[in-house]
Amino acid sequence: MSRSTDVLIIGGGVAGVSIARELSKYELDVVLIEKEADVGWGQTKASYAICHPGARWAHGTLAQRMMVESHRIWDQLVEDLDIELARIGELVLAFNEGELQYVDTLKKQGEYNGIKGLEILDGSEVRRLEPHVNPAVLAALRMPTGGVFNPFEVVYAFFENARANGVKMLLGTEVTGIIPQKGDFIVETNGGEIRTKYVVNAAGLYAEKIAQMAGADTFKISHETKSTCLILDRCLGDLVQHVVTGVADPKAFSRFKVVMPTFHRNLLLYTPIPEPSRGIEDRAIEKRAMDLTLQSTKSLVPDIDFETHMIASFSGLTARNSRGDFIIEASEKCPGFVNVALPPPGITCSPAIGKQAAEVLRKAGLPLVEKDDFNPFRRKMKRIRDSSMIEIRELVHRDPRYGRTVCRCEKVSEAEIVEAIHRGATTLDGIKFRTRAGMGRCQSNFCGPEVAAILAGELRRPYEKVTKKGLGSAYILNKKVLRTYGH
Amino acid sequence: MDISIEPLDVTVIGGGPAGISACLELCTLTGLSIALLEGEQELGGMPRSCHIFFGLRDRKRFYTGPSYARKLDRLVRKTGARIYTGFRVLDLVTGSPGDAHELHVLSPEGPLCIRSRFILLATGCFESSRSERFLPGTRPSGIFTTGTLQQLVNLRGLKPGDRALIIGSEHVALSSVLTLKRAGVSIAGLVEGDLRLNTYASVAASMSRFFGFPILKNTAIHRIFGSSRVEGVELLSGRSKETLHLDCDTIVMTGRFRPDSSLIDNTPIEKDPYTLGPAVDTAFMTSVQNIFAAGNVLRGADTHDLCALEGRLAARSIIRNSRTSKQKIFRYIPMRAERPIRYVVPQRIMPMPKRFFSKFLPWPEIQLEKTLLRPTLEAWSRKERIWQGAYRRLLGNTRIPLPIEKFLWDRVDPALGVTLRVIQGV
Repeated sequence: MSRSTDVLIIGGGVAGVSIARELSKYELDVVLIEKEADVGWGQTKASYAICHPGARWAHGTLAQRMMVESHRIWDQLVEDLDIELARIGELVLAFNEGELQYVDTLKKQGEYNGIKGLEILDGSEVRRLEPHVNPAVLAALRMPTGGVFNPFEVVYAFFENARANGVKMLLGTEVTGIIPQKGDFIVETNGGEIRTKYVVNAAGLYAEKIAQMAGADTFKISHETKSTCLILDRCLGDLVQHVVTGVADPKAFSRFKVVMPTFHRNLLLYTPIPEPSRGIEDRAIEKRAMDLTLQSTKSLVPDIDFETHMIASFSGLTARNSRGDFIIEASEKCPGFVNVALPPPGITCSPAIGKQAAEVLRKAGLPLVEKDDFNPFRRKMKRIRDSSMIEIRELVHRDPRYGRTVCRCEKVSEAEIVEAIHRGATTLDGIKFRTRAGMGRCQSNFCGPEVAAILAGELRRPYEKVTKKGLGSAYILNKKVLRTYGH
Repeated sequence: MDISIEPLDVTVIGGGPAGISACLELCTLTGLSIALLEGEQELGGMPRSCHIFFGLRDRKRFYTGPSYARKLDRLVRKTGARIYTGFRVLDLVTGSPGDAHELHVLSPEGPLCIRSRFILLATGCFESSRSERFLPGTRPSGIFTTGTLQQLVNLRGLKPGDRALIIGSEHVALSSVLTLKRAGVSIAGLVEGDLRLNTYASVAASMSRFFGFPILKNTAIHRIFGSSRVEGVELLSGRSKETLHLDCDTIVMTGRFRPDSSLIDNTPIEKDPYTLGPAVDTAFMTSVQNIFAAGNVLRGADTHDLCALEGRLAARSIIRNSRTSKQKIFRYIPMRAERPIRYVVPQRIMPMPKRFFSKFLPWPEIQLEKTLLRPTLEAWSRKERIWQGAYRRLLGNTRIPLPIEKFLWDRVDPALGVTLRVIQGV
């Protein structure tokens, strides 16, 4: 199969889908390819999904500029795309003299960066706002513009809106080679060749590898830092009301430990741990990382038995590039090839990243003509758990499958799972991230087989072809019909 | 289209052994309007997908799991209780004392609100997920709990993999051995982190010989391998500190049960700090008046027949309460447990010189995190020891009955309650 396009975006992380959505505003042929079976399964998935207020990044860096610009866009974007963002504010706690200085410097840097509403609260005020934090707290910096995203919803919102506006999404498609040819590029993939005028390399951890293929590598990507997040039961979700962070490294603002509620009011714990990765594919959770995270976050919120409330944990690699800042630029060696290499915080900056990449493409000669029929809106799916009784009545009236709950912990109905499949989920994880089925306390102990059956039915595949996360990850290995009990 | 249910006397949530047995008992008292709500399409609960040894203590007969579930189903449908299957309770809104409680329910025909004077929670339990067990390594597919495995094999007739490793050695591990064998899956081994098996060691040993798989005690999961599907595990022996690699494509995590109690999350109902299940008194009442709980929602799993008996006793307690409009105030004494004791159920007890309930219900009970050799259990109140018991061995993850009739109740401070601790032990 061979196709040609104006712009090819390599990588369906939050950067890739944001760029795709931005480019879908213009009269262009845009194709996005992603090697995984779904979008957002790289660094984005393993993010703690804080909406950073932006004080932690030094003034003048591209990351900081993108953040300031993104904060200007977010409120409108949250409306347009129905993105789940809760601006609950961030508290940076200080427990000693050194840390007091740290928050003071952080506040100054934040104000210099143009962030509004920063204030330093004294210990008693912090204890009043957050009764469960360590009472030894001396002071805290409050940053009211901080918040938490549902990271999956951000990615799926961009993805669905871009697709609705004509971007072609090729999932499960991996780049095997890039050949520059007469000002164009021939991109070889496992799904055939794609001829394109412009390439946007938003491959995250693999950005260096992709850039090398085209001879456009002007940076290195290190994937040596592995971070681990622990998710705790929803019964602890009201333990803290803010994103509560603590100093982990007095010299680096970007390294901090976190105790925070997620968007769905689980509790999330994170500590930066210098955990060497065992290669670019390493996503394994280390026992040491789990223990250290529990131990060090206890200094922020003591007296809570985190161990007995853990329900999920995940690890991911962070792609840090050799320049230590965002890279969004056209390659000089290779005109028409745009590199997008982003260390965190990608999700917070994603709206501005899309705009910046479009600008870089325009400067590289891509004509951007606005479409007349661009639809900026996207609605998230209706959920039983977020609906009132009256809304549920209407939903069940419309589709009786809303009346059948599949996931009992998160109250997900059959209709929601079917809709997730219609919106592009082809795997069990894809359904989980869209609907939250299996993200509750029992971790798909009850609903796993049923969700797989619904997926098999909707995709018209046999049960044993249902996968957790794409090729090779079959839910069950072989079908063998046994006599079942009961009937 | 819309359905409505008039205010009820008793609503039982959960149609498993405890819930159905409670309904059967409640129906012996005529005049009460009773509803049984079950979220699944069929009644029966867990026994539907399990196999052998059912009904010994409550029905005094031997059943298989599915036939036991069918028997309960038939019995309860003969009574006057209203049975609603496919009705999932979304929220529980507790009423003020004396008032009816409210349930927001999602039924196949739409949402509805049920008001009920008494509520019995019998929602059962599930097995701990992977992260709760701190299993390190990659996150591929092919990691199931016994509950999921039994659903796949016994209800759907599917074979999950070719070679499975079993983690944990509670009774349910033996059940997963039989389930795997029934599906034709070979077993790579059974791994237990504890020093002793948490089940009948002789039964496990004979199964191990008969089916030809190793039992590895005092062994931890060091790492799970495989990026898309499980490819193997690395085990770490606690004694020799050596690692051992086992190839498998499926991992079955057994035991370490937790109550399925998310219903009480945003309610004033008091929770057990470890299990997160409702804390109850000896009459099975939670901290909110007229809301009761029975069965495995109270703790890690006990056998279905004990749950059924608990359901009956809770029903009797509801009947007693329904006969008097005046609420009797008992002086319950709070019980607490210190690690390595996970929990004590019930969490509030009445001081009794004699064992309450019949012999077959071993209440109150505790569970230990791990097996202890030569431990001494002690009960303290204020600064006084009110009971001490020396044991040769206490198995972890199993039910240990407490001989509360031996407690020196007259020395207990009712306000401070009783604290249980382990003094010695390996």
